[in-house]
Amino acid sequence: MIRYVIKRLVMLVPTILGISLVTFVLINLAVDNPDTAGTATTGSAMGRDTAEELGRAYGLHLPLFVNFYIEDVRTRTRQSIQDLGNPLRRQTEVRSLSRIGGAVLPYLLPELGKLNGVARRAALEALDDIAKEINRTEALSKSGDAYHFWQTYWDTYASDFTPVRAKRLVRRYVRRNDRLALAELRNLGSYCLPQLMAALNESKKADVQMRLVGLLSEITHRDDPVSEYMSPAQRQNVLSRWNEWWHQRYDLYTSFEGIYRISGAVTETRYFRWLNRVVTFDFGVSSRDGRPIRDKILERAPVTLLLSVLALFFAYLVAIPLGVISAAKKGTWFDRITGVVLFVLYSLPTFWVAMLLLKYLGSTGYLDWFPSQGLHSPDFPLNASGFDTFRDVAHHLFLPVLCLSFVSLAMLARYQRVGMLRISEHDFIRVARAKGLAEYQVILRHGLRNGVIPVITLMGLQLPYLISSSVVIERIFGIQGMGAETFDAIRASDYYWLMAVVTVTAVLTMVGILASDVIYALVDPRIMPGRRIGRGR
Amino acid sequence: MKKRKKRDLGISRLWFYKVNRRFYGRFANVIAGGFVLTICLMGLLADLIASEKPLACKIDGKVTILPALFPEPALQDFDNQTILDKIARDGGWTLAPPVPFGPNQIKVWGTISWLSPPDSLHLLGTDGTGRDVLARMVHGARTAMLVGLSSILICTLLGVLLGALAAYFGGFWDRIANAGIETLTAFPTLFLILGIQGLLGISSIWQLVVIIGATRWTDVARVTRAEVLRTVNEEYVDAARALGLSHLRILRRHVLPAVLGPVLVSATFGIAGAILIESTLSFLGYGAPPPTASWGGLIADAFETQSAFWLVLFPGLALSLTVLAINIAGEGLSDAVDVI
Repeated sequence: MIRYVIKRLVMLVPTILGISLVTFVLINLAVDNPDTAGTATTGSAMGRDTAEELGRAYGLHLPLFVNFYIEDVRTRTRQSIQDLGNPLRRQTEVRSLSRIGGAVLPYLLPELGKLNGVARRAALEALDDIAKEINRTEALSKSGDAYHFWQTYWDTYASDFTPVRAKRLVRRYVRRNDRLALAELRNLGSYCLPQLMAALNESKKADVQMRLVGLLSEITHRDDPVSEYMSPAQRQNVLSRWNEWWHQRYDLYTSFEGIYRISGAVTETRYFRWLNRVVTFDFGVSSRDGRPIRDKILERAPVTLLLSVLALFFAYLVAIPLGVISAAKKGTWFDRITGVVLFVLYSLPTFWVAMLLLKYLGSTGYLDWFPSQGLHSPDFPLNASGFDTFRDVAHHLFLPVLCLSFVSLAMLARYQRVGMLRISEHDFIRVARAKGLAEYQVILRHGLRNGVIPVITLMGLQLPYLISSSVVIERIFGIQGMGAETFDAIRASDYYWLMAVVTVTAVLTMVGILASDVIYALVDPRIMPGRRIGRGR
Repeated sequence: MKKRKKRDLGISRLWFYKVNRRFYGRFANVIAGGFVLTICLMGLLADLIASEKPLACKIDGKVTILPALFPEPALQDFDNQTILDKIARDGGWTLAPPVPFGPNQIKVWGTISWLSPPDSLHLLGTDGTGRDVLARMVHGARTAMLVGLSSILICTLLGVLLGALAAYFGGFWDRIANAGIETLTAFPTLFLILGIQGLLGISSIWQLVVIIGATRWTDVARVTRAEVLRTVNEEYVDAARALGLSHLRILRRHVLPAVLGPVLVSATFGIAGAILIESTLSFLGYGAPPPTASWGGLIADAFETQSAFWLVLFPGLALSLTVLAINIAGEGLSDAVDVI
């Protein structure tokens, strides 16, 4: 059994790769599509800014699958230095150098002496901006001797520009709020960003986070502060926004050395970054409220799952007895009428039935039996007992679950009937009858236990359908699940959520299919490898 | 040459004859097939059944035929109602279509009536913008059938091609195709399509057709694959291979004809599924782009206004009956195909 489960788990890996590949193609289509990137059509279309931001978020500046020319801060700086001599490229290069900031210093300053006059002037122009960033206004090129200042600067501080040194400075600053360490970190500029981010992720205390985020904002000019009045959850949101920002831009500030340069051929690609998001479940930060998508998913998914699983349970609960009874009474009026009713139910559109039920059973104009919106009554007390909560939620969920399950129910009952009829042709059923067993024993013990197996295999197919239909049900009954959130996301062009929800629902379905396979193996040991009972080949 | 062609056709003609006879042997199938055909015709001729322009008219001494299809500058400012006033003034005659309103016509005699219940003017009432429900339902049939048929055409082509190739060549390709099918089935359809619509933006009805076609081919592919796997071990395929026929010829002449029946059945059910998806998406507001008439869109109008039973009842009935009829036809077809 365990071997079988492990085997199925291993088979899950290529499927998850496939899922990530499909969503990857989707996001690339969306961002590369010039129509949607430019003009606004109905519903949703992203503006230029969103497209560019999305480009960074999904690594569109990177190649698709293999990266033979890895761009990091070192190669970028070298390229820029070369292009400083080119009058056409000069202005862009100066801007890009100064935008990166302190991280370019270890690669730019040693080369400064080798540059010719024009290029050196351009380089000093870029260094001007960096000087502002690291609070060295005396270095401004207007003050005359900027070149000598930077030479001395590099002679003095060259030893500071190493990861080890930066890490030690950051630790000193975190532990003791050391003024000197702060001053030296300011000297480093954006060079110390990797170490700062690492420290930020380790930090727990509000004041440390406040200090680190303050320094980060100072270096990067990105304003997203932590204040002491924030709740821990709010602080966590700010931190995940900073992490998301870093995730999108870390290749601007770090250089890949040694083994990272080799593995970078695979890891520094669009697809790997997306795969990384899928596997680590880190889908970025929502553009609507700045909360991490992961938190939102964890909040919404249980509602949708509750709805789907309840509907699945209800469908099986009704379908199996119905199928068994109509198979036992084959050819009678009961069988015929159930057959027709089930066939009609199978063809009815879910949303239409939901609308009708809501209108005639859940609104004040007609029969007001069921509440129409949400999962809880609006005036429901928060401190109610468990049973009261259960009753309230059950009252609210009755209609949604009914609407969600009737199509599955009809299909399962039809399959159950066919399965029972097939089984009843077998010899062992005739033997059971010949032994003189009561009819109910023949049906329940000998027939049902075999006849239910094909219906159980259908569970894996029902799950995607149920999760998919819950979008409609959530919309009509005002339930705040993943589907309802998806509508807000489409309206607000929250692409992170859309990508995440497509991926997560697919992965959830895969897990459901896995579960149904395991149940199938439990019910019918014949399919397990190594144990050939019955009609083994 | 002539003889061989005749023999090849002979087999399939017999097959079609048998399937036809079995299919039309059941009364329910005839009714369902007739209903589906009617809806198809309604969709095809929607512009003639429900239009704001007359079928034919004579004004200012000039006869115009079918101005809805062939735009006539002289009639540009007229619809079925205003032309009556013109005739009363200047003389002439006009022949109005059965439903004398266009699907997007808002003003009738210069007035707009939102959400008016069914009466003698608007047989099935009007929607939230004042458009005639019956006219929109007729044009909704066109949308439904267009999406249903053309997306299933894509599905069938893709599914048969991939399923047959995978099963016929087997091994590595089969495993790849199988993984692809399994992956695509894992996506909950509505989430996937909503995601795509949200990411790409809703541009036209054809985009929806392509999306449904590209995501729903797995059913057909699975059926084709199973059937081809069964067929390639038959002796006549071995014989064909022994004769040294090319792969293409074996597939086309000997393998695929056996697949035809099950694929036809699967595609029929697929049409019902595609129509349901289209109407559900239109209900949610992410299906056909706004001015397009759709049954689901009409029901969505009722959802927003929370009243107006005629907006829920009639389009819903049309949708349910169409899907039911297609499913009955599919069921009958599968019975008819199975026995032979």
